Amino acid sequence: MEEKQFSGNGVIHSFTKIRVPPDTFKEEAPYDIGIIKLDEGPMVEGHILENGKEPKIGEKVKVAFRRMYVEGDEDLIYYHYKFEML
Amino acid sequence: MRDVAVIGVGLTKFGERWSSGLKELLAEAGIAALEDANISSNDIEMLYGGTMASGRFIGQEHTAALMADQLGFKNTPAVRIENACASGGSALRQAYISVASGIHDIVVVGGVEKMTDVTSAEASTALGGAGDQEWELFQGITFPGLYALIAKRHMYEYGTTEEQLASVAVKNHENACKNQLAQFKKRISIEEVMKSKMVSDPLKLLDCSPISDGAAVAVLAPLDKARKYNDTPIKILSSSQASDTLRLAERDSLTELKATKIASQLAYKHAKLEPKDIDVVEVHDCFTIAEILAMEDLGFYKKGKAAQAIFDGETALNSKLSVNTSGGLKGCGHPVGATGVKQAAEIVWQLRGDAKDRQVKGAEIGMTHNVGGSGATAVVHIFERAD
Repeated sequence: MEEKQFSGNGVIHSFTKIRVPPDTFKEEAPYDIGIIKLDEGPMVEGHILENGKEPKIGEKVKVAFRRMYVEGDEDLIYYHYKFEML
Repeated sequence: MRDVAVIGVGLTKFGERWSSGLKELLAEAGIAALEDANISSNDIEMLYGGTMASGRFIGQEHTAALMADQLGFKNTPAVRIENACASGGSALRQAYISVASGIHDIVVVGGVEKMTDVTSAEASTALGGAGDQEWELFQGITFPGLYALIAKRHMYEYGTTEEQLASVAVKNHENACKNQLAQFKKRISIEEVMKSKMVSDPLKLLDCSPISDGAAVAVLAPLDKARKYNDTPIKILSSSQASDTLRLAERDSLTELKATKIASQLAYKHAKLEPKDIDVVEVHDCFTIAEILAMEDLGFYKKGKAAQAIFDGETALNSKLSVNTSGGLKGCGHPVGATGVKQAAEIVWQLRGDAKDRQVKGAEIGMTHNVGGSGATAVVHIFERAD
């Protein structure tokens, strides 16, 4: 197996805005989700950060490390990659 | 391999069955099926039970033995099949295989789900388990979300419109009005679908199948023994299944379900039939976009052509091809584990000529199409009247 580093750049292949979330995302809704086609070829799903723009198919995005949600009485924070619109 | 026939089917009313638990639902459908097959519980040799998430919904696992117990089968071997929303169809296929192989003669297949005891957020989380937990559900991507991603891409590639999506729900509610067992006996208009609450753009509340309680049971026998029980056995011409990546993002295309394509191509091949030979079909319309994909991937329309055809009424009752005469998942309801068996029950009634107000004239060959998750499982069966 060979390790490969991705640039984190890609374009929106499809997107939606989730308005009825599962319990863990109650505080975050509504939020934008996209399937991102990375410049290197593979596709990956993730949150889209609008940055004041409307998501559209074909728009460029770049990966960012962000807070995903907070859980439980001890406020355990989950982090994940998201995609910022450029 | 022996020829296999369905000799009896039974169904509960689908819907918000607050006064009925899992056991009542099973008894209601099971007794109806055994009576329909004119068979005693003592004759049942094996049971396959489809349930997706009874542990999440009501804390009850071990549901196949529970089905056998509830239907009065004495020490009959029973196996649960969990294949997300395709649990029922997958259980039917296992029952078919066990009769075709000659291991068992009389086999019962049941499907059940009791979903309305939890909040919609809890139900959404439980159903989310049909997708990829680590990549999809962890990021808050719900099932309406996954099908919305499919819909947006289909709209982009083929110009599919939200009104065309809505027309699927309108047609299926129209059919459900003629089905006494359907959850929604209520006509809706395209305008009502368009104005319903947005769930995950572009899918609105009335683009989504509901949360439902219900059970369905079928009895299978070798065709050469079937007439002992039933004057109009329905022969299973083929039973096919395929899988695909659990993750939507890993597929080559978002606008087709490859598992549906592969399963249906095998089903046509084994039955020596083509799409044009099918008179009536129950497809997996968990969301309106799913019925559009199904009509394309099952070979009834070229890619990108089904949406307008549905909008134009080509798939309404007794039109070019009658699709989802039961009301489908959208109109009849979608108790996930029961759906695949309910689809078979509807086709059995259609081929016997027992579908009353929603009877497809002269129906001789029927098909069922049951999908799990966003397309990681697809099960296709083709049936023929065999009297």
